[in-house]
Amino acid sequence: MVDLNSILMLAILLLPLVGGLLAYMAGNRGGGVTIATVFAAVLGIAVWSFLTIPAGTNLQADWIRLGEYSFAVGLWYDQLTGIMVMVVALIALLVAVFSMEYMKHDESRARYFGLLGLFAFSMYGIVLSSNLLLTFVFWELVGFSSYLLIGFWFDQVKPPLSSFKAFVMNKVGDAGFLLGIFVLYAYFKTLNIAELLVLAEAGLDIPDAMLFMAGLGLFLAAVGKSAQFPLQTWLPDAMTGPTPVSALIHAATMVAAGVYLLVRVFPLLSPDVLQLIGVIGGVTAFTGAFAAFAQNDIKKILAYSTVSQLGYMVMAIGAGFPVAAFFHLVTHAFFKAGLFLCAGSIIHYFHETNHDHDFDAQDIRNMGGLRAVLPITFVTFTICTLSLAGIPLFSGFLSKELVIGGILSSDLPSIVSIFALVSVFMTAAYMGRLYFRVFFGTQVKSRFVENIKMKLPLMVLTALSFWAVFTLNPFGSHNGVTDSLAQIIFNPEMAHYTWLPILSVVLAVSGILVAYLYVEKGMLVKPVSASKKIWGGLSANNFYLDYFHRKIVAGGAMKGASFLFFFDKKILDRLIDLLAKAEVVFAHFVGLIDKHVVDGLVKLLAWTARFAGGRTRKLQSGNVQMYFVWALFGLLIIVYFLT
Amino acid sequence: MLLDHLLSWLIFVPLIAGGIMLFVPSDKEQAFKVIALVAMLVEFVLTMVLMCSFDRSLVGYSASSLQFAQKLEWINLNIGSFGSILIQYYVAVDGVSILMVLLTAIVMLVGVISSWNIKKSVKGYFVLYMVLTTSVFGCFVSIDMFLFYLFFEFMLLPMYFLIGIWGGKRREYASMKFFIYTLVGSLFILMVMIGLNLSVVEAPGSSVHTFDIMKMMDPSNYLGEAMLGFSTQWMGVSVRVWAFLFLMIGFAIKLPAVPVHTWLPDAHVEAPTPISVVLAGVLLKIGGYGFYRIAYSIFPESAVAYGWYIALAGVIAIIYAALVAMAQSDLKKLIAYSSVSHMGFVLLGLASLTIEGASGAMFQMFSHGVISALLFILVGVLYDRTGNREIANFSGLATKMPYYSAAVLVGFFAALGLPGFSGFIAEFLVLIGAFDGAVNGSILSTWMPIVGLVGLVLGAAYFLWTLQRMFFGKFWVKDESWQLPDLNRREWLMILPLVVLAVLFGIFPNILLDYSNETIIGFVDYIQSQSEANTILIQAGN
Amino acid sequence: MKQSEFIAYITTLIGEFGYLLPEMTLIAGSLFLVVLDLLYKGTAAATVRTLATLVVLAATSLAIDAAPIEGAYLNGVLAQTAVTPTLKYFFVLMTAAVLLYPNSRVQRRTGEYQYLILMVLLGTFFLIQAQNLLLFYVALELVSITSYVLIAFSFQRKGFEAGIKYLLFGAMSSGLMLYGLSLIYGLSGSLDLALIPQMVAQSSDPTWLNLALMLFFVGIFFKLALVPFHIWSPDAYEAGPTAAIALISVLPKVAILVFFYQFTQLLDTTDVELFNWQYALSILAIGSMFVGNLSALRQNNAKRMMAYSSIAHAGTLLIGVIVGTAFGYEAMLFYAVVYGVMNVGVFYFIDWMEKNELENISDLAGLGRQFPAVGVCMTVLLVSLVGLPPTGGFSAKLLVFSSLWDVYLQSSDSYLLWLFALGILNSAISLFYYLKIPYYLFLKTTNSTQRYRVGAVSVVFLACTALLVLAIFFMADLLLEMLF
Repeated sequence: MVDLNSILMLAILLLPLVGGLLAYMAGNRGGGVTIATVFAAVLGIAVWSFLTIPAGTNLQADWIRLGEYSFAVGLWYDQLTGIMVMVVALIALLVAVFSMEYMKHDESRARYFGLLGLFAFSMYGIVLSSNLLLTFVFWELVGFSSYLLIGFWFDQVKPPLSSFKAFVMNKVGDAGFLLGIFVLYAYFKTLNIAELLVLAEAGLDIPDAMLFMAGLGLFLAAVGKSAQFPLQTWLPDAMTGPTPVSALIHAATMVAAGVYLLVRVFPLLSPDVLQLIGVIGGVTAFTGAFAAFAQNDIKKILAYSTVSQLGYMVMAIGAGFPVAAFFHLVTHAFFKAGLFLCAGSIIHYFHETNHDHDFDAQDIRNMGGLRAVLPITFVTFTICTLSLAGIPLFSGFLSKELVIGGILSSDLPSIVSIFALVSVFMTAAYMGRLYFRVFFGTQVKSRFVENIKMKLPLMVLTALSFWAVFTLNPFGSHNGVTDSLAQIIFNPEMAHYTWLPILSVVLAVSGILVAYLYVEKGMLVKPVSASKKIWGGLSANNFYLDYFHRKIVAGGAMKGASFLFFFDKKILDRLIDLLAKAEVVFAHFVGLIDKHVVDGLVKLLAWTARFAGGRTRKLQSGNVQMYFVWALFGLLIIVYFLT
Repeated sequence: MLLDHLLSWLIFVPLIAGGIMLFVPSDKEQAFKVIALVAMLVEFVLTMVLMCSFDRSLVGYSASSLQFAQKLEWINLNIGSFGSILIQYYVAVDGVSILMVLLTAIVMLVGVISSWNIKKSVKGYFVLYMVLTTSVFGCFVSIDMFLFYLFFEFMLLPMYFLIGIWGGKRREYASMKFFIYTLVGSLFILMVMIGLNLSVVEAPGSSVHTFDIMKMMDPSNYLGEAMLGFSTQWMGVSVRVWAFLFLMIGFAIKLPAVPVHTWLPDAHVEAPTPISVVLAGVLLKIGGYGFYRIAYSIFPESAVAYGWYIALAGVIAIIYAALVAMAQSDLKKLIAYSSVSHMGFVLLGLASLTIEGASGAMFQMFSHGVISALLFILVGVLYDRTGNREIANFSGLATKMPYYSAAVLVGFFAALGLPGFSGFIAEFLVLIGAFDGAVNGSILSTWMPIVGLVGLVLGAAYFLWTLQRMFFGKFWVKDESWQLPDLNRREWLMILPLVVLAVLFGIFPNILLDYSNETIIGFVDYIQSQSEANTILIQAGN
Repeated sequence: MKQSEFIAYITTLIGEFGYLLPEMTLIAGSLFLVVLDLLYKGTAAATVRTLATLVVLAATSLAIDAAPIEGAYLNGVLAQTAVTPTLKYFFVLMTAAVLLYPNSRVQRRTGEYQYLILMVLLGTFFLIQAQNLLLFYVALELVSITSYVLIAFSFQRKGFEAGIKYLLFGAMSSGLMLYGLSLIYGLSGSLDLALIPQMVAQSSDPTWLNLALMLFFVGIFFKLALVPFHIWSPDAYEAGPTAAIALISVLPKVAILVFFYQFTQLLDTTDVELFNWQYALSILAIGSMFVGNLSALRQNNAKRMMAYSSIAHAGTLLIGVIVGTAFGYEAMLFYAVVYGVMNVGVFYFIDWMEKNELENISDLAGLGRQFPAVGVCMTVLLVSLVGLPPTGGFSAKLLVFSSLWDVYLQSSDSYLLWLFALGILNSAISLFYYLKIPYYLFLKTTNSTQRYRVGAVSVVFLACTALLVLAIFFMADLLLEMLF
């Protein structure tokens, strides 16, 4: 049980938590170094583990024991885990190093680094978990640490709002996750992924509708976490967090967790669910890319780009190529983290040089000519952008080819393929717009030297965006990642389209070209402004999806809540109050009868009696006698009714 | 010696402490607090002894699976030819009630600490508090239904005064409402209790009418002709069904379930902080416990037959109360409604009659006890400083009171069921049990746990929305004269243990579950098998 | 009849006078009191008289102890059962308690007061032993007439008015009852309870018998102040001296119910088709409970509230007669004892209020904080009146309703179930007004600076009643054993 492999796995999982705690206690001065050291150690262990731990190693313990039943939790290690752990560890380390410089003026750095530790712990939990229950636990914890990091600057107005939104949207996904867990548990009485996959191979003994529900639930989890349509709106908002966090969580790791989960449980997804996944992925890829056009905030552009790229990964899963999706996840993690860190570097530059409070350091309209002052950032950004756009010789090209190839050779609706291809063009175009706007032109003059703590992460990530990291053949469909995964994940041969690389390169290049011509050369102004008129609002507002969420969903819920509260207070409570009041009123009523009606009858009788008896008896009050009369009257009535 | 009478000590130590207080002059305010604290510490230690010497492996759900039983003949009313009515002092614990005892010990201890800044007639307050403690403990360990009812009713008066004298502005209204609601509920229980007593005898052939719940669970103890149920009908329905319905109403009011929950927000809003803590922490659990111990155990056939409706009530409570909570402007009311929502899970879990669901219901009772106590203490902290609880009157408190805000954040996340806190285990078990029950059993529908999931999302929404509005953003409060110092030592002393407990039980749920497992397995087994047997009896009776 | 037989007969009668020892003691004692009144005047006289009365009561208790217990005597006119001595003790204790009331203004006035009280007691002694309708009537009149005088004993205008009203009502009910009795006599040819059933069985047409019974019942309902024959009671209660009210709200009612139970038992033994009197009584019981409780809800005057409360309690007590089983009888007596104790305690408090010139419940605001001991005792007593545990009121209600449920299970007449359910519902209603007193005592505060005094005796008295009420709950079996 307690062998070296288990210790390694536990170390990867727990070290960041301990490190986070230590970093928090180390305070503002020592926090950064502490967490970076710990992350470095974890990276070391991750590499070591990848080399030594055999696939299928697992560690299991009962968590919730209910007599004969129990809910086990455990860790699992295979190549998929190993690669993911290394990716997370590497990016986490780089981000931690970067943050030491980026956050150096912040008063609560200790909390920041502590939270980084907490996040890493949760993320490793998802990656290492052998079991859907434990995955879910860390799934939520990741959301929680993300909540805390997005809202890190809680004394400002926007970050708390964004973090709130992010968590609730994630919670919707989490509810789906639970649903998936429920279905699987109800039918198979296990939540161990490996066991479930074995069962799946044998053919699942479960009604189709239920299998669909399980798949739908798990996909919903991914929709929430990986920001898919229609829940993707939280991701752009999440950019209110510190930029290194955006790089780590909202570009490279956490948002990829949804894809990672789908890859893990891929055999459990029924064909119907896969169709749905593919379509949703396509829609997300397209809308994300589309929305990126009209944004002026550098981080928002990158965020929409992330949404779009996540759409690609999800599409690949829908198409039945989880390996391709995962490969894209890995490559995307590096170049997108690189882009975000570049953005961080740029923002940092403005923060350091421009102390004007009204100045928006993230608005690209305020930028220009940065290549002169931030040379390393410029180079990094260039390479990562090319990788993102899918230009050969860069890693993005490799993975994107696999994804698109997969989509084309699948039986997804053709609209998905169109989305995928159009998005290639759009990706290149909006990135080109950003790139040329920020680094070219002549706006910025302040002298500045990039700090080594920032440069180093950038350079590492740049290096990882080259094709050679993964394969020697820049056009090959096989690479290190896919090959090592082929043993453990179902990976069908995809059809080869020789025209596809050519087409996609043409699309990407023309996208960049259009951007270049428009931004740098001032050409194409007419068609662009014409389309702006038509599409501008739609793009800037991401198809008014946010509006829809805010007004229809949240507004509707609030309306319902207010109505129910009204109902509760004014009707339900009133009803019960009314019962009590009715009792009192009834009491009055009885009292009235008791006093006045009886009395009144008595008086009536008295009057009658007087009338009959003339005016002879004027001295008596008549009251008591009339009581008698009444009582006798009552007696007679009783006699009448009872006999 | 101590072990034999452990439960009696648990019940009567607070009463003795209350008796001692009567002889202390009322101007010695500190003395009452100290006595109360010592008494609650003694209770806690006794509970720990109880926990340690409890045999967790005892299986089954019957008189023989009860532990620490103490059975004394108390009142034996000999009524001529009719026979006699036997009331026993019969206390014992099983795996579920022992956890409720633990919860009570914890919450009552915290409640005393929270009562430290009570200023108005301290003597009266603590004497009533002690009486309340006695009756709560008594309720959870009584096996004799009369004894249970006695303690159940006996809670009313102390609560009435504790809310009515030490409460807020509309305390009189709230306390009266609380009193009447629960009294009406208990009258329903009383009716069933009388009926059961007259129908059940000690052993077949005996003429000693008993209140022993364990005896009431055995159909052979029911008298031939005059029994409550099996052959008697009223308005075309077996009297046993009516009796079950009455018990449901009675305990649903206590729980509380929608639509008989409207006393709770008022009572909470007006009650002083410690009483809110006690109310949400333990008193509500007596409703759930009553379902388990009395309604379900004695009428298993109705529990199965009407499980769907009970679950429906649970689901409605979850969603309804969550939505209403969203519309609240008063922080305490919001938490009160969230309580209603959380107690809905208890109904849903119990109705599922699966081991997961029932365990989850039990766990939810415990977990909600700890977490809601925490939340009400947190509200009290703010109220102590400002005398105000309107959400709209605060913004950005985190900058002024970072530790307090952190505590609130932790409390809210615990309440919304973040994994790592006990609430998650509870809600997870309830929902997975409900789903499992729906798929593999015949009681529930699959949509119920799914709707329950929506409740989780709503929970996250209203808690975090509140957090965002009150604690984050720019600092602003309505009245600038409000002093807002961060948590003091006494407040830490209450908050920290509760947080630790919520986390501890969230990470190591088996600390609790190991106690309840065998009992709940026995319980579910018993309900399933006995319900079939009873149904056959009823059909044969007609 | 031969002379020797006659002499033997007389001898037996004289011999059986030993059965009447308690009654004799009472009569002698009360005469002694009247004489004492002539001897002592002045302020100390009241105390002396009270002490003397207590002595008489003590002597009576001893006499009860000495008197033979069971069987019919005096030619079957009177009869004792096992429960008779216990009831007598209970009545004596109640009387003694009432004499200790603090507001002694009335008692100071004249010696007749104590005398009258003793006469009420005497009347109730005979009532519970009566086996003959005529004797019953005479005993009832003894109780009634003394009650009329007692009500008027406050010597205020209001008291006279109420007394007269009460008198006239009483007279009319007596008249009705007498009609009924004469009809019964005419139909059966006997006034002996034991003989009536046989005689009745001979007559074939039940109509006249029904009418006779009904008239007789109405007389009883008047005395019990059941709805709709209750109109006199609130006025009388409000006007009379509290001590006397405390007495006549319990003793005569209990005594009449005991007789009434015996009487209705006879009806069951005849096979003549009578009207469904249980049904009629159930309606009256429900009506009394509702009218009593609901009317009490809006009362602010404490005594009036208690008047309505006693109407409601009479309704509950009546359940014992409706049930008609031994269980029901025992439950009823149990209830009666508990009710007596509670009533004595609460009226004591009201008497204290009157002494301090407090009349309304709302005047009590904040007093509970001033006198916590009194407040707590009152709360216990009132909780008991509601019928909540852990008080004797709960045990009593539990027994009564248990007996009702039991008889329902046997007969399954649905009106019994309604009686059961509505009766329990009424407990909830009564809560509202009973708790008004602790509510004002503890929850309300007042600005009035007036200070009141509570003597140690009062606290002890109230504490005793409260403890008794609690003890009855915790040792209910003991009381039941004592009763039977």
